[in-house]
Amino acid sequence: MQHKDSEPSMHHVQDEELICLADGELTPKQAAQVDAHLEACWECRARMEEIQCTITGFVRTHHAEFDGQLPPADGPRALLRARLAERGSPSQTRW
Amino acid sequence: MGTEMPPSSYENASFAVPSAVRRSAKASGIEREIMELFDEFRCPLLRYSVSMGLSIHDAEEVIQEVFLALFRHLHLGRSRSNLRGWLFRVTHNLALKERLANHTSLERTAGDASVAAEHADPSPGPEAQLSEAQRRYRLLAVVRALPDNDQHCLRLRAEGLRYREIATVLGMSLGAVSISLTRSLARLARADGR
Repeated sequence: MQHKDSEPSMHHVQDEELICLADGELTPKQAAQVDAHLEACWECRARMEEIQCTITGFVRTHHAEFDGQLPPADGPRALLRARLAERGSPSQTRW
Repeated sequence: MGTEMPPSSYENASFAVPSAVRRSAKASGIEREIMELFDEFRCPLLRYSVSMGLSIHDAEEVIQEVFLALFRHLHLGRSRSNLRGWLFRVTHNLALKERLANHTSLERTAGDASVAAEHADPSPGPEAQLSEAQRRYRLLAVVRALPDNDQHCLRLRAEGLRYREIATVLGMSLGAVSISLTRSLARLARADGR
């Protein structure tokens, strides 16, 4: 992306690269190149903020959709412990 | 005293422990480890299972099966690398199986309106709350209209999985995960008026 070591490219960054940067999925070299471009380009920085805002909105929606339905863990936890104890007893460990 | 063990017997004392007792001690160590993982991952795995269309009851049963399978996995001395990815992969496969058995799909209709309002931040005023609820409703509608795999990618990423883990859970390439997330976020952004 860089023309020279100190000069960031003026080609705008694709959304996929911005999302990968936000997700820490670029190589260090790629991330440095995109970061350098973002420092110089308001347009791409604005798009990056929009992407972050969309991610925040989705994560909140994802939790709001399900968290209210989740029952307390006590019952399932006790059940799992009992089932594990049953399987862990010497007579049950012949796999 | 004549009953004392000779030094060589001390050295071999561990071999005198009955194998059943050793098995039991090993099982109890694994059991502790599994309970810790259960405490950490029950909620994320439940959310993911329910997002795949299971009822809470069925999802809880799937999670139990997942952790019992993990017990067998660890007891057999199999790989401990990336147990989070392992848990989500087994959950995904068991939830799919359960969904097929129940003839259910990802489509859900109940509770959407209340879902959008639930967990709203109580601090903003009523107008801000309404606006936030409407936003969630819009985003939810977009998510539910996405193809199954795109929904799974988004949900798994929201639960903190890295692209490589998502690729393994869903049997996709890394590039396909990246493209899927980009496509889904673009749709969400459009619905969000961005």
